[in-house]
Amino acid sequence: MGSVYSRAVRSPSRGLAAGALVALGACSQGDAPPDPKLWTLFDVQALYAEGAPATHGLAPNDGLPGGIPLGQLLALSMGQSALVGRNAWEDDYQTTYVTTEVWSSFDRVWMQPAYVPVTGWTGGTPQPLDAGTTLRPIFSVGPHSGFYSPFWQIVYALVPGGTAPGSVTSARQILDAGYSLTPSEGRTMPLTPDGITGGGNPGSGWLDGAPISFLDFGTATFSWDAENVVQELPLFVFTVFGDDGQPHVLSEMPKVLGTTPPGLGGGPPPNIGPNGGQPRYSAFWRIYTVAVPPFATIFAPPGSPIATDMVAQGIPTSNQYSDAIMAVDPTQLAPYIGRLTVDLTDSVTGLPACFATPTGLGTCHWIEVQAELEANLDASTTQATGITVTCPVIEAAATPVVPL
Amino acid sequence: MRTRRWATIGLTLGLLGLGARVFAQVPPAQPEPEPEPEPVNDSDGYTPPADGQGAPSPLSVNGYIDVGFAKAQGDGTSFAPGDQSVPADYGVDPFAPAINSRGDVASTDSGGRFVNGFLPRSVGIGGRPSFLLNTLDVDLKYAPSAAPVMVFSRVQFLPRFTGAGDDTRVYVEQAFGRLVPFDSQELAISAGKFDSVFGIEYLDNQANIRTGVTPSLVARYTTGQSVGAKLFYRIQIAPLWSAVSLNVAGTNSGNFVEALQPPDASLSGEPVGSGRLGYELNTPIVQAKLGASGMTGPRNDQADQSAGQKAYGFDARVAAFGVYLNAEYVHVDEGQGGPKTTSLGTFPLSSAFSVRGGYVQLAYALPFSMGPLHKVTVYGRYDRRHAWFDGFTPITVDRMTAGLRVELWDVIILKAEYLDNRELAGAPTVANNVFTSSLVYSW
Repeated sequence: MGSVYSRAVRSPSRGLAAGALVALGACSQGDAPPDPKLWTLFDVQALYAEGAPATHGLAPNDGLPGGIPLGQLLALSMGQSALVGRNAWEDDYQTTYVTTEVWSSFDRVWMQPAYVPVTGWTGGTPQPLDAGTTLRPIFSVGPHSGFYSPFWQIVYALVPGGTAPGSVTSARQILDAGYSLTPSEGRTMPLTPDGITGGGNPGSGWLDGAPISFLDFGTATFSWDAENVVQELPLFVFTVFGDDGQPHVLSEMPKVLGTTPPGLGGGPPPNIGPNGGQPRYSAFWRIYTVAVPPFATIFAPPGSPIATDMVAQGIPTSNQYSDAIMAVDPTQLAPYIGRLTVDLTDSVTGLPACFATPTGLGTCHWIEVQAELEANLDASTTQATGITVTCPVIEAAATPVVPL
Repeated sequence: MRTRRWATIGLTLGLLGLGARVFAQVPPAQPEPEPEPEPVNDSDGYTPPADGQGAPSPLSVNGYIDVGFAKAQGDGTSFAPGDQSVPADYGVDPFAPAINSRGDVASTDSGGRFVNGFLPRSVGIGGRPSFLLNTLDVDLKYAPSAAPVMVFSRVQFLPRFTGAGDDTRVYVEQAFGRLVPFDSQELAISAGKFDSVFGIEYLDNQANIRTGVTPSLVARYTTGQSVGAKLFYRIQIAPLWSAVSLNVAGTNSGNFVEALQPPDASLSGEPVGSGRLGYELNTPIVQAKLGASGMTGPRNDQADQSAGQKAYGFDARVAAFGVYLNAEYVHVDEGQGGPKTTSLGTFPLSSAFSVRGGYVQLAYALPFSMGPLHKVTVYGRYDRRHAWFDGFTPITVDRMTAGLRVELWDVIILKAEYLDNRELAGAPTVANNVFTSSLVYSW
């Protein structure tokens, strides 16, 4: 595919027309609304191919300092592309999510239909036409459209007996044939370049008669309204002011995944699936920035990556960590690195008492769920950005989240 | 089937109502080829009227009333039942079920599905047969004898009742002044809101001029009015019975119809340039016009100046022995821009878009007239359109139109036609054929 920046048709010969209208007083307009942009994994690969570094930020001017670096979506190694897992907290679980799409200045994202030809139902279970294979949906919108969405509603199309497997491969065929259509569940299935690893079940479907790869993150990963608009939840990103007076995002600082719209206090995610189920998280988020208040403390012992990052950006940090903390194997501290607490700090060390020993860390009042965030931090420092993302959770509490 | 029936009924009623007098008249006079009418803003030039008593009034009032009757198949839209992809207007051609000369369609009701502004105006009749007052047009022209200036305005009253209630509009379609600085030259400079300069179909915009009832499938890209300035120059080459003309304009929105790009203000802050280079052959037997057109500038349905639109096209018109051949090809590319604003509202995104298409129209004026029956013309047109929004399946549609036009005296035109719309590729097949008719009173 071409560069995402090649989409606009430029007009090289406007000078003549512009000159002709000078006398008519053509003038520039006021501030225009920001242009909506969507980056898919195809676009990320294309940017890498054009030489963009992993630090290249997507949507850098839409409310999130620095935007979202390419390296937080895809990592390239030995010619292979893999999704990058990022840490977050939700309901006391450390979670890992991946990012597959980034929207800038879209106020809505729509669910699109993905058709699955079936020959019937057995015991309520649809029988795919392509029996013996994995789900092979027929996607209705390609990834180069601004209206592409990885959020698909599975629509079963009942094909007549005798239909050859593999013979129905386009949405037009489905609609032209007048098959009985049965809308079903929603699934998060980003269309991807071939060979992407790192999350979701890989699959191959159809787009306009041609095969296309996708990653299936399963059902129960989003909800939608009557107009098929996908419902967003907040993903909170902490920002810290540096000595340049500007807010910065510390890449090692875990995010907080919301479970309700902002201001509603969060709560545990639903448990869905066999054997008691697993927590099921949204895959569609709007990024909110949360300014770390002066009374809160980031766990950043000297020498840790986050402490190095803070020093580099002129963000005040304490070097008064106790010997007990500094003597511990850093891997034991890893679960706490970058976490934020609102415990009172000692005026001498600038650190809360719970930072004194490794075991004390477990007693800190960490801001790791939406409820704590909203209860302890000033809501006015929480700002919605213009960025929405597809971030399916692939691991919770050290257990892979199995797509349903 | 029902559409065909209504077509028959409508045509029969129309002819019965008028036919008694038509066919009771004296035998026809010798048929005489008539030059195709030209819209006032593209007439050959300024000719000062005679001064003194008896001179024509500098102010003239003209206009027409276009009364229609139409019936579309299905629900009057091109949206396919069962299709849930959004935007609903990206995977079909919502302009296909046109019912009048303005390109208004029977319906644009998407049944609640999200649409993104690729829509025509609607008369809101769905699949129901209905009489319509398509247009009440009032033209004012002021051409004082003391100055080489002409001032023209065209105001149209568009009574509409859609599912959302009364949607009547009063629309200033044209309002401009034209200066012809040299008596010896066909040079005209116009400023204001005027017709397109792209291609030839804009010449047939008005119901009292258009041969048939409905515009072609590519008219939406070439026939829109806009605000700006234009220059027309034509040089006659008498020994060759020929003329060469140049028509260039700088406007807010280029040549798209107002439903797609608002013409009355520049959203990008940068004008759109357009023009046509034409050649005319005017022999006593054959008249021919050939032209090449172009357009470039920012798309005016959004504010980003870097989101461009480019178009080019070729056109031809030939008239001989009562046969009129019109043909046009159009090639348009639009880049992706910011949030979209059209005359129909605001929408999230102006997607990159491309279209290639055109039409061929053949009309034959039967060689007779009888009393009030001045002219009978049969016509047919073939349209084809291939278009795609970025990331969506390209669609190919075509349309075959067949119709009859009857002119009575100089003031009444009765037209009836059938539109056979077909989805050839990409778009789902849908019942969206149309029978439509038009009774035009001119003054």
